[in-house]
Amino acid sequence: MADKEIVLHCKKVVGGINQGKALIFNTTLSFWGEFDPFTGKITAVNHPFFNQTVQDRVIIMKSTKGSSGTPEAITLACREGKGPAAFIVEEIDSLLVLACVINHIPLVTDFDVDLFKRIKNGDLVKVDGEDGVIKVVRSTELNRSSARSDAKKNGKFM
Amino acid sequence: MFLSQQEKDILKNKEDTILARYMNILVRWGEAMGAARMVPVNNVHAVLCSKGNYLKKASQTTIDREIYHLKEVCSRKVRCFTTTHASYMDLRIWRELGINEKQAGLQHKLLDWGRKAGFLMTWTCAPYLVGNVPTKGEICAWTESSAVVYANSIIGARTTRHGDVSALAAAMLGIVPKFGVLLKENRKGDFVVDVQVKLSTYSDWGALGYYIGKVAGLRIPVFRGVESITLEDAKQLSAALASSGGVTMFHIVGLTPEAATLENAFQSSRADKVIRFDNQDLRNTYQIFNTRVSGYQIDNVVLGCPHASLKELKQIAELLEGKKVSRNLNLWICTAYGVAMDAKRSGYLKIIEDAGGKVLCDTCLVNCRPSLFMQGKRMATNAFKQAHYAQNFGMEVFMTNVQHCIDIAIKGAIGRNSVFLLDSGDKNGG
Repeated sequence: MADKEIVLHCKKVVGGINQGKALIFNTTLSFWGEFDPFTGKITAVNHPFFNQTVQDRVIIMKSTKGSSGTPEAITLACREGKGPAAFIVEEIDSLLVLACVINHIPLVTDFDVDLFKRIKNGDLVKVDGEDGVIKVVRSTELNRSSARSDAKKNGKFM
Repeated sequence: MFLSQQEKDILKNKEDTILARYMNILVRWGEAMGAARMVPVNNVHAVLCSKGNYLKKASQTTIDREIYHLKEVCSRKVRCFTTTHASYMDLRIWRELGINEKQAGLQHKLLDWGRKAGFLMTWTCAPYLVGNVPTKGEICAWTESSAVVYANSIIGARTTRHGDVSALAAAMLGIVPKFGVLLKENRKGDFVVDVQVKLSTYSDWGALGYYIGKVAGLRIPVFRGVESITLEDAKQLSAALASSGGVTMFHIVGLTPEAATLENAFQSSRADKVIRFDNQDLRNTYQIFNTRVSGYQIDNVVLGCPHASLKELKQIAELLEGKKVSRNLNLWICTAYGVAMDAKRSGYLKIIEDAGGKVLCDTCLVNCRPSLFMQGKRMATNAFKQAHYAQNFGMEVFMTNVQHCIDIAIKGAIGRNSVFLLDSGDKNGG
């Protein structure tokens, strides 16, 4: 169960405060064409979290990429109640920034530690986009099992 | 971020809340991206369409909001030369594509609204094929990731990667926040790509883009070792770089406007690494898709991603002349309406349609998702971008060049001696 809280300093890109369970992948994602805004699930067949929802998760990734439909798809997901809680990224794509600006999603970057080593999938992450701080509460129990059960539900995009 | 008095006034304007809202988004976007100020823009490529099948699963509230938003945008005049991005249906054959009357009706209305608002209703992902060709250094605000790469790299125009809202805001306000590749210093290359293989087809250029896009992420590759590039090559390269990666622009030493020399491309700074792209990398990139193809029978052949040029339509017509597309599959060619009309006048459209090819205007299969296409299990295409997104519909995609695609369309299957197929899976035609 939850043990200690790690505090990490970062740079604010889009302000706001939010928290959620980490969805962490050291790779990229296009929110159009690799994501279904109406289910909130990642649809990219080669993605480590294929078929897993981003809803209410703090997404920690390298960067967004691909389609210019990313802001549109994130906005639709937010309207449908399937949007993510916050974003923590290594590199800044103007399209993700636009999506976060429109939907008031906190977005931070620029850590002096390797996030992919410090945070595990399912950890509770509190993002303070105003002060540029994130707090990580490690919870070893819940993460792996919930990822596995999500992966089992084998839905299709259309 | 510095704002002029006029910009501040728009931000505080209580009478025109739409403009105030758009200004607010541009200002907050600019601040987050580190822009010092706004810069005038007079060339926009924006999204303005009814989203048909894409919104099929959306709640009524979301759909209503979309329609309200489109109406709101069209209730005023655009301030810029603004072309429109690919839509979600072909207004000539929407019934055949399984679009319902309501959606088609909305699209017809949009045509009317958009004209009144001053949009050029091009509905294409390749605006540079239908008269939106900026000049070197011209500030633009373009959506469509592949067109952004094309405009920056091949033309030397300057546009950041825009989304639907930012492009519409730019069209309405005539300004964009000045950040990213709008500034010369952010246009310098990040790494060198030594191309050590002859690129013989459009799809070979796509393979180069698909391979390098993944490595590049958001960075700027500088290609070295190629002697010429056509519009169609550049289209495939641009689209693939922005599918596996999030590239905004590239340089090709000796070919593109800001890369007369390697030093120019890097603006005299040093390249931190060199990546090779050789014959094995080229083959392997095709194999990413082709090794997952489980049989020879093909259900859809898809060309025109990004939208086919006149040259491509001519080539396809010549390959199809006097032949018939197999009854077992659909041959789709996506293009812009303007290009299709020129092809019609030149006789190519008739040849393609007489052979049984389906020419789709205004849209593409990934946007439109007609059931005739979606029911298919296997497809062939020459576009890595199309392959990349179609695989997420659960499709097996065979990647090859245009000639081979047409050959497949006529025979209904991939030739059994095809060098591209590896010996994995069931090859009994399935």
